[in-house]
Amino acid sequence: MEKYAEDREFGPPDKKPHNEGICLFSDSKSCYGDDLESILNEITPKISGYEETIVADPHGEGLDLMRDDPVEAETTILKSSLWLVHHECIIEDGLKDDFRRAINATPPRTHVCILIDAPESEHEEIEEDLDEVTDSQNVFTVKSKPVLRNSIRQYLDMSANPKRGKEEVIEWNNNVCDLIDARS
Amino acid sequence: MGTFSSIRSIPFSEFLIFGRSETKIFAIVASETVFLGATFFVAKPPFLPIPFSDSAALLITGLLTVVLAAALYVLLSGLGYQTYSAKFHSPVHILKCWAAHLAFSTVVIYIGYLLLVYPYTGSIVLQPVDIGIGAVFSTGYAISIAGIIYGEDYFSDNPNTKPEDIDQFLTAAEDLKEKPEPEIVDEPGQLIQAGDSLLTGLQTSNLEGTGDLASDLQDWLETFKQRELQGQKKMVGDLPNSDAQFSVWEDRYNAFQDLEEELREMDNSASRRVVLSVRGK
Amino acid sequence: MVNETLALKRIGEWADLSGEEFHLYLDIAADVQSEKLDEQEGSERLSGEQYFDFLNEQVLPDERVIDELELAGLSEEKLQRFRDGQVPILEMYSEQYKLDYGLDQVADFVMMLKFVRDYMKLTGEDSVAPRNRLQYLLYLVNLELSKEDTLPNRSNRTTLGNLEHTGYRYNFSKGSGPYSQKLYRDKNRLFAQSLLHEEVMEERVSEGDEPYEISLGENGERLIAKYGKKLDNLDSVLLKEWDLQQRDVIREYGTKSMEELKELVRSMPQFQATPKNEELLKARQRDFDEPVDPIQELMLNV
Repeated sequence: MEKYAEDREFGPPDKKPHNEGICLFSDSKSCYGDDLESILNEITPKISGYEETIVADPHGEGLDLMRDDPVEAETTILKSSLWLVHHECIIEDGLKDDFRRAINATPPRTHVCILIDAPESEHEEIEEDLDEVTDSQNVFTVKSKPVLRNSIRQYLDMSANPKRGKEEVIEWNNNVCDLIDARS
Repeated sequence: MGTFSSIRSIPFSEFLIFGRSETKIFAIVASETVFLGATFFVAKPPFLPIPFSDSAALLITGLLTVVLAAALYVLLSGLGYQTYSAKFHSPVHILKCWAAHLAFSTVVIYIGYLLLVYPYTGSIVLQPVDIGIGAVFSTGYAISIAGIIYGEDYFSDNPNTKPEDIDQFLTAAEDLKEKPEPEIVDEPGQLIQAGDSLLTGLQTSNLEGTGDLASDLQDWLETFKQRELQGQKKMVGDLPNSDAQFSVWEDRYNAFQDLEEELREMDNSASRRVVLSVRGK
Repeated sequence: MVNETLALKRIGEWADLSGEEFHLYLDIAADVQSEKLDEQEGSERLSGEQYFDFLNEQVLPDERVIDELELAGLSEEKLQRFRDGQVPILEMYSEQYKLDYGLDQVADFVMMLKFVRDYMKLTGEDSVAPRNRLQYLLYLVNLELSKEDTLPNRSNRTTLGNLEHTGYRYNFSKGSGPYSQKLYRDKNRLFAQSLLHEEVMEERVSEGDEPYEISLGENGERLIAKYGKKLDNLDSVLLKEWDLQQRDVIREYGTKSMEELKELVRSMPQFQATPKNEELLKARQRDFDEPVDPIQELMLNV
């Protein structure tokens, strides 16, 4: 990951799109029974300037890294500005404190989306369990696949897309570079 | 250019011209043939200055032919090595080229024989000694054509950087895969530089099949250029042992493996592969 | 800071949409939004309130959205607000856009702001850095308050000393150092209001430290400029005690290196006696029961 110049252009003719990492924390790559790749394949054609100003890539090793060494994991997962976390990873894996710490370390634009994938009757209890983790303003929960799909689409199209305003993307990217640099 | 185009349209011509410019090859063959023809016309038979017995002549010409034929194979494999086609690095394919070159030169030499020797002998049926001498001439003629093509390439203003590019591409990919992120300096840049150079070679090659490889390499390189280091490492095989591995990275790595396989095939000439296989490597 | 991209979702929830109708609305609204944005010239990102205005002016009244909402059986009153572009989006984000908190919470905010200001003033530093230094130092403020019992006419029910009556309402637990999630939450809230400013440090930090530096934000500077003198001469006994302790902590520990500070706190008997992840120090127990004028005044003016 390299710092972007303040005046960097992303679209044509340079065609140097912003590479948006999506980090999945899950034992499987499925989200509500669907493959994340197929969800992304549905979404990306609807994103304005996709492949020109922005490309999205899923990374699935978030949970393995967290289990392995949560502090070391941060240098990798920080590079993704959208985290998709299956609720069981936080609650059942006993990684609550590690996630809380990792989320606290993120720059403000990093979005953490917690996927609550359970029967509706259990939603309230799960949300209570997630309490301290969801306290940060950049954390939100989704409870169904269509809402997840819409949230990812909105995020990629509106927040992470240099076409909709590149300053924030440049600032986020450079902040992450500084963060990783400060840790090394 | 119509004649040349028609030559180009015959896949057989690839065996002879190795994807080189038809005009250039035609000029080389024509000048060679004219030179040879002129030699035939001004020379006076018999050609052997020292009187040998038939069996000795056959033995000498046979041995000479084998040596020259082997040299022709090495020369042709060198020509194949300069191309951007994996096929032209295959010992079998070079053998076909070798046969094509010999067939072509044999025809030319036989025509020369008919022009020069027939008036003396009155027979179109070759004598054993004629066959031996003809074989030496044929292989020598084929070598001279292949040698001129090879030399012309060697002294050209645009030296062929394919071997260095392949080496740089594969080494950078290997380093990128193996090294931890903080130790990576310019490996992605080197890989892209070598990849672009190989791509230019593939795109300008006239050989059959290089277009497909060029297209695959171009697609892969385009994707590679747009990825962050984290993704670039995955594209060359650093796929973490994760339960949630995405097939998109596996697909990109598989595409790289296919490219790698083809490039490695192009990294050894046919004759070197023959030697290696004889040595059992 | 503010999750604007969730606005369409929040609007759908406000409209009481659910199930398939909710999902259809989300898809259609996102399509319309994308289309309208593509029609706009330039690529300036819309700020929070600009984005909400854009939604109300161009997306929500679009006939495709209205048609979908009609099919979903939305009440005429709400439907009319969509048509008129009068959907109260800002109110859905009130938590981020307004400081609407109780007196005790505002006391924490103000004292944290004052702490950052005093830290910079007394140590000559430009910021509090790394970020977890704030955790250590505010823990020490509460710890020192808990060691003294000097407040007049107080009948303590706990052994927390002055901390029972004054100090931050943050429970600290033991991690690698003292840690309070509530402290971070409040810091985030002040950051969202530009009262505090946070940015990535340029210097390297050791592992486990948080490479951010905290200073006063634009609004924080303005607020301190206006009320700084008043905050230096607090009338409230409780706040005065809190403030004095805060300054003492800054003087005593503020200039120590992060390594020294960690070593010092970790070697304290209370820290060593507490098992990991267990409660290290309780928060202030009692609410303020006397007038704290500067705080009340600030609350009215924020």
